[in-house]
Amino acid sequence: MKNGDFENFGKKMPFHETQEYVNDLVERCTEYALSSNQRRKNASIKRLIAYASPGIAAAIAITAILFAVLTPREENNDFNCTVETIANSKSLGTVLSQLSNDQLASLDYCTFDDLPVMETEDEY
Amino acid sequence: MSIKYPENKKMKQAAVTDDELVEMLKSPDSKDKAFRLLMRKYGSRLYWHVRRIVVSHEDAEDVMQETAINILAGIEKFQQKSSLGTWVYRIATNEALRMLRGKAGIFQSIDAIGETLVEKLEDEAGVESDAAQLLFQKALLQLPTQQRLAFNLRYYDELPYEEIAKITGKNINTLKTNYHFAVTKIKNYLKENSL
Repeated sequence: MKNGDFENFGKKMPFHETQEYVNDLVERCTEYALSSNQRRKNASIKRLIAYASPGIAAAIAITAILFAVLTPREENNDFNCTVETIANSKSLGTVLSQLSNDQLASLDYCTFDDLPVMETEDEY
Repeated sequence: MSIKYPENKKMKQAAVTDDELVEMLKSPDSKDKAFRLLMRKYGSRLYWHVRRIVVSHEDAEDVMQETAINILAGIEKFQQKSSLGTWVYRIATNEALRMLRGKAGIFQSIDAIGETLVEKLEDEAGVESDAAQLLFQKALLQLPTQQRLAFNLRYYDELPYEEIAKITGKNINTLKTNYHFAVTKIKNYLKENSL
């Protein structure tokens, strides 16, 4: 497009900034944008680490707790209370008197229904 | 249609096309270098475009910084629906208008800050500035922002209406009307102020 009606005014702006000054300014803005872009990237990495670390630690802790809670445990009473043990002994009273309190508590695992019926005279 | 945006003299030697620049900008290895080339190619023109909108050098510098940051941040989303030149002009224009809206505040239209811009123009033009050029700029600052924008992009940047439409997001016929009204108002202002 030609200047047309305004050719007397030209296209210069009435400001004193020279082209060199403008080029410098553009270069400053360019470098500022590049460094700010780099800062933004670094900040997002730091943010990621800052937010992710406690999250990962919490996830590990929760997994450990769930593992501990949900894994079936083997009962170990240091006492093999089997029907045979009791049946082979002279009397139920003899067996029971040899047991500690803990072992007695664990007798829940055997029920008296499991015991063989004994003759009265054999007991004594 | 390929629009020819006047280039910085340093850029002519490099002779990197916009398509090559976009390709380089989208590759992480060459992004920084391509961005420097892009700014060397368009930076000066963008500065004067922005300066004509916001008038103050300080504001123009702030707008240029935001523009550069937005170009760098947005290049990966640039889909090449328009030329690279149009895209960077659009970013700069939006940032400049955002700056003016900020100056105008929420209760005032940006068209209402013409007087403030004239004051800035007088402050920054200095005593040695050409009286005719100063008057011409004052005439431009009487215009509503959309007319001023259409006039600037047509008169100073010599862009076709199709490109101006992409930059401003306005309809071509609206832009032609804006430009026509702008020319008439400027002529009247200059006549009234005896030049």
